Amino acid sequence: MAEVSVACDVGLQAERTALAWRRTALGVTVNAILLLRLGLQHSSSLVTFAGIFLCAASGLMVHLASSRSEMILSGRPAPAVRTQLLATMCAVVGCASAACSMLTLPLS
Amino acid sequence: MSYEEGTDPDYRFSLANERTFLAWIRTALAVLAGGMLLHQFVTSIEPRWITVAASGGLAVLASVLSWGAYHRWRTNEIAMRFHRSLPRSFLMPLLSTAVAGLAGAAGASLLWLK
Repeated sequence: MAEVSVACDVGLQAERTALAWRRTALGVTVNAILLLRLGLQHSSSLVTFAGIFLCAASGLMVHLASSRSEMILSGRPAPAVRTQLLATMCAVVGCASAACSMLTLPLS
Repeated sequence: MSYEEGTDPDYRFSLANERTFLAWIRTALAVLAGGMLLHQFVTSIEPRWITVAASGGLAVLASVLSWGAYHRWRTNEIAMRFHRSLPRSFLMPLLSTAVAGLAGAAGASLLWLK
């Protein structure tokens, strides 16, 4: 009986973790699109390229999220999650750093 | 004390730690999106540098939160591996202070600008 309850728990945990990855990828995508819009609006090549780069990074995030979700949902995943977490963190920090360049742009 | 050492924690706790990391990352992304929207669409506040400073501050807060998310995940993972109690994190007091300050500033500006 302990086996069954742990299995049910694991199923719910795995599903919630997979959904969390997908929601995070969505968040990165939204921010990348906002940054791209900001760059196009001010015709700043720096911020536009940052936005394009981050849109590509958000595509990678979506792929990472779906592969991690598959791995979690199928069975016990390898605990090699550190690189993926670091990649996620770098994506967000990159977004925020590019957004800080807003301070140098003329304002609408 | 490295990430690779110690005993593997319960699978559910590892997943819970991972979800906590992702939740903090999404908080950072929401703060960042709020800063960018503030910068792009709020034009009615007269000393313009206030809006710029606020949106820049939110972007910096997003960076700090996302780094803190990874740091918290790592220290929790190590604590679980060595069967220690989970350490406190600076993230929660920081976020509470930041949101309280932001709400206070927004309320004050609403009252001041009528």
